[in-house]
Amino acid sequence: MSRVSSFRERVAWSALSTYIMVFFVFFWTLPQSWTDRAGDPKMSLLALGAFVLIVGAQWLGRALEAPKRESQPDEREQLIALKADRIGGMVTMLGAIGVTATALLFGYNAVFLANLVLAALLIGQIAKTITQLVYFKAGA
Amino acid sequence: MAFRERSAWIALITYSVVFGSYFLLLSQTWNDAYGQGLSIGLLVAAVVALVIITVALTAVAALLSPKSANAPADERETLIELKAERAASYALSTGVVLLIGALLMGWNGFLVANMLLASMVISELVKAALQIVSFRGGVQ
Repeated sequence: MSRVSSFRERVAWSALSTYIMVFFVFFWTLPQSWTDRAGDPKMSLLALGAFVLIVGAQWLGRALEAPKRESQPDEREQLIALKADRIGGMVTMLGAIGVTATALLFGYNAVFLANLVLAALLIGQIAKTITQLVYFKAGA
Repeated sequence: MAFRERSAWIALITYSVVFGSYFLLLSQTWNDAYGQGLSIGLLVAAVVALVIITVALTAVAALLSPKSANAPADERETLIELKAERAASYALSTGVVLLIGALLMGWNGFLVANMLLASMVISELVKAALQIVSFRGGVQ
């Protein structure tokens, strides 16, 4: 028997699909636009702006568009959000450690490092959203 | 004092002392060599010191209250930890977004790597401080 998705589960699905669509295109086209010397910082700045916009839109969507009876997250949804934040935070932290070590050991150029950090941040957000969806389906 | 509160104090003090000294030394001796990534030896020394001090202090704390150290976290302690990790994850993400901007504006990659490390340390300090506040004042 199928189960009706809650509002917050639908927001998580839309965030996941947006991250994948936007950043798949970005990271797919990035190597093609890369020259011998460096990548284009404008493109990475746009990607960073898109990332902030998607996170902000999710937050605003949850705050403004929630149906009346789901305006406040219940205890289960709060626990799911906290557990997902934990996973997302761990993944981002691991990525940040990796990028710091890479930067100090190999010293790649700044735009390349910026894209690595952006990838770490993005993977952290995707891990957080997937954790939310898994818990929504399986129970926290 | 519960074992988990003691652990939070240990983390707060150890991170403050070890990385406070690291960043103080780095800022006073920053030169072209550090600008080319040669601060990695200092970083390795800081991490080794952090691990040794944390392990030693945690072992002492566990010996002082063996029952509490071996007991699984109760519901309140789990909630305190999850909420502190959420705040730490937000602090880290904010630092990471700002540092991507700094890299794209052409800052030195090695300097940004150290600032990324500073973001991670700040996020750990936020986590430990929030845990202590919650243990003392009750979880909100």
